Amino acid sequence: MGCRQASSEQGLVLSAMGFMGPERIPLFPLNVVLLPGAILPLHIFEPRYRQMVRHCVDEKCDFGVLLALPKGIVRVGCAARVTEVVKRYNDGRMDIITVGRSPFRITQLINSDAYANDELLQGDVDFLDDREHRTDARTQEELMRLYEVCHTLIFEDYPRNLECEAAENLSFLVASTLPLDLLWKQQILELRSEADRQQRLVGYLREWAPHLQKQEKARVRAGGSGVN
Amino acid sequence: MNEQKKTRRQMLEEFVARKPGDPFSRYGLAMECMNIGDPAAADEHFRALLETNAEYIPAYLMYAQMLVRESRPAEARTVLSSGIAAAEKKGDQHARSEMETLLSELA
Repeated sequence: MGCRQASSEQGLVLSAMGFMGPERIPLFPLNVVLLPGAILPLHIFEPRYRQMVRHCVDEKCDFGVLLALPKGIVRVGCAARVTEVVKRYNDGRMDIITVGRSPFRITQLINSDAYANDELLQGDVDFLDDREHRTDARTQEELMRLYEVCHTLIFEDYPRNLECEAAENLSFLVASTLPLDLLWKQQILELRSEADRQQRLVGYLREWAPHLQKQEKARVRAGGSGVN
Repeated sequence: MNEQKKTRRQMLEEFVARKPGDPFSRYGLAMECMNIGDPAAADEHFRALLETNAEYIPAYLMYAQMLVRESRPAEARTVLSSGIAAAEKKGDQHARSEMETLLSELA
């Protein structure tokens, strides 16, 4: 099983990988879109994934998280690194915390037939870097304002992690924190420019934000809690 | 002294104070005031929003619905007429249709 080693200089590693060609990693199709920097807690119970997680923890390597749709899995996913094994159960199940790292594109699926028989899915993948890092200041500011308002409306609290976040990670932070539609998150994951991701999110949130309180009002009304 | 957690309204008021022209914060605050049962404040914020951001289409229908609930149908009709014109200008057929439906119910 191929492994991607930890590195604090992710950009350099990704650049180097462009010359190294695809790498084989274990794949974990799920009903989530993991984004770089996002925290994803998982309960691991299937034997194939228990083995995969043990291997990844021992070797300090990543596995790939992919969105599973009714028509199949998507081709762009995000590498996940186990940061903590919270609990090990006597029967081998585990509660773990993972963090999203680099996006990747599958170039070839390995043993996809055996996957249906409870074997581990693997893939040859290319890790993806952004093609440019330039951002537009006005778009970024609008995204931050929209994020502040949406976060406050949904969670009744300020977004605490906004000021210290680097500009190039803003889109992933916003998309992973707000409960957006999965296919929208997938679109964000697949865009290879932070400027494009921010622009796409601003367009989405502009449409989405006005409906947040309408939905809440409808829920309140359905619950009959006395708000006119 | 223990610091009390701010209400959502207070947080939104802070955003509006910081960026008075930002339509999203103002709309959020107007809706919050409406939802918590302060129609006078909601009225003020909807008005301020539409004065500075006449193209912010979602506000027209919400404002008009609140005016109807407040038994102010004449004002609701005025808001809807402005909203229909703004939606038409922006090419938002869905919003225009929703507002036309409410306006016809008020006629």
